[in-house]
Amino acid sequence: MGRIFYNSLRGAWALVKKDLVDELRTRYAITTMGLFALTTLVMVSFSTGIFSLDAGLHAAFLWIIIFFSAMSALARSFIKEEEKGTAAALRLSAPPEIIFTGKLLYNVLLLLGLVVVVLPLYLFLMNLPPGANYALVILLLFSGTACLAGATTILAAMISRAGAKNSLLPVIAFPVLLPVLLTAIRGTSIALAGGKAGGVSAELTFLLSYLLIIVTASLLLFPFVWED
Amino acid sequence: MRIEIKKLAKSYRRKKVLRDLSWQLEKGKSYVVTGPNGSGKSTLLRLLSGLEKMTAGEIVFYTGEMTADPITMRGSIGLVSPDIQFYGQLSPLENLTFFAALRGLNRSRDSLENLLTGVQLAEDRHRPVGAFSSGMKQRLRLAFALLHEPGFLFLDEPFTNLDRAGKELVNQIIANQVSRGIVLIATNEPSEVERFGQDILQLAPRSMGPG
Repeated sequence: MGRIFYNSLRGAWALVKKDLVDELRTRYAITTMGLFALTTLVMVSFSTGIFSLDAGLHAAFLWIIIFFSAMSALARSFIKEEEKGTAAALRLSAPPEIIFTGKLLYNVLLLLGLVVVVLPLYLFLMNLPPGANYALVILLLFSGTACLAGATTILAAMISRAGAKNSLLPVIAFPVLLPVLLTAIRGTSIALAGGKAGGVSAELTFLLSYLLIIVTASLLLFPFVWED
Repeated sequence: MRIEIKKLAKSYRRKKVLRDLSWQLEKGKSYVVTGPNGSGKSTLLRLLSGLEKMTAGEIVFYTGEMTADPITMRGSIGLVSPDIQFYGQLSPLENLTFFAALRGLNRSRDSLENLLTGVQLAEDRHRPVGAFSSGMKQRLRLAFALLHEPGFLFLDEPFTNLDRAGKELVNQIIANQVSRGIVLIATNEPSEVERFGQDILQLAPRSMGPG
């Protein structure tokens, strides 16, 4: 049993490493996400520069930038396997659960990387209200992006064999992720206004519960999506 | 070790590719499935490898006391097919290292390099696969299929794009596999049918079933 678990983790990690190496050599997702985030940030910065925005607006801008940047890149995780014909070799080599876990971990790492780039840029370009609780902001951003990655991974697998794949993901993902976005925006708004951890406990509980449910449901659903 | 195909049928929407196909394959023989284009040779190999689902019928793998379906048996199946593609940005060594880890195999770098030497790709082991010729990609498919020393080896047009040395290599692989398990070859080439077909399944055009 322990051996099977170890081999499954090893397989999933091999997929993460492969995707990271492939990404570092092609730079498709990094470039797409980075350029989208940068241009949106600059546009938001220029258009709102003369105004003093409240914490709620900052939180909304931050999450809109993260959501659309993520959608521009995460759709590729399964589409590229189908388009390049490598999905058959993956299917032959590992059970669906290992493939899903590997892709999910890769997407989480990719989005955490996005947050690490976007947050400092946002702080640099925008005039944030003083006294923000940045530790809590980071915790909410990490929890929210993990939820984004969790839901997007299974949705990307579902649309990978459909037509108009790239444009389909944001449309399908939006209703699924709306509760996450609204909760994350509310929590981030409170944290940017200087709120304490107790003030966002409901939001954090919701995000972690959502993550748990979406990952469990995806692990159950993915074999049918992957094999059919 | 044997495979039983019972009343197998496969349709794509209304188009029937395979119908009422029954066949038995046993260890120690090489089998050939042949027929014109579109008769369902590649489809049969994909069904046997668990890459597609059958419309009707059954495929059962017997290994010792155990019986299993194609998806469960994937760990013991090696497939060489144009459907198998590799990561163009990675070298053949990186591709094989990745697939070995994904299969949960503990393969040393030396053993993977030996496998690449066996398919005559040793000198190109660090070049990106995207720069490979069709013949080199076919050699890599052979290495991929043999990576886990499968008991069941399914070869879809295995001589395609190979030079004389490559064809000799495939002959050798087939000879080795016959002594170890079951080998099934899908081909249109009469000389290959005659050479390897200890048991031949002739598929008729479209939905007519085996001839």
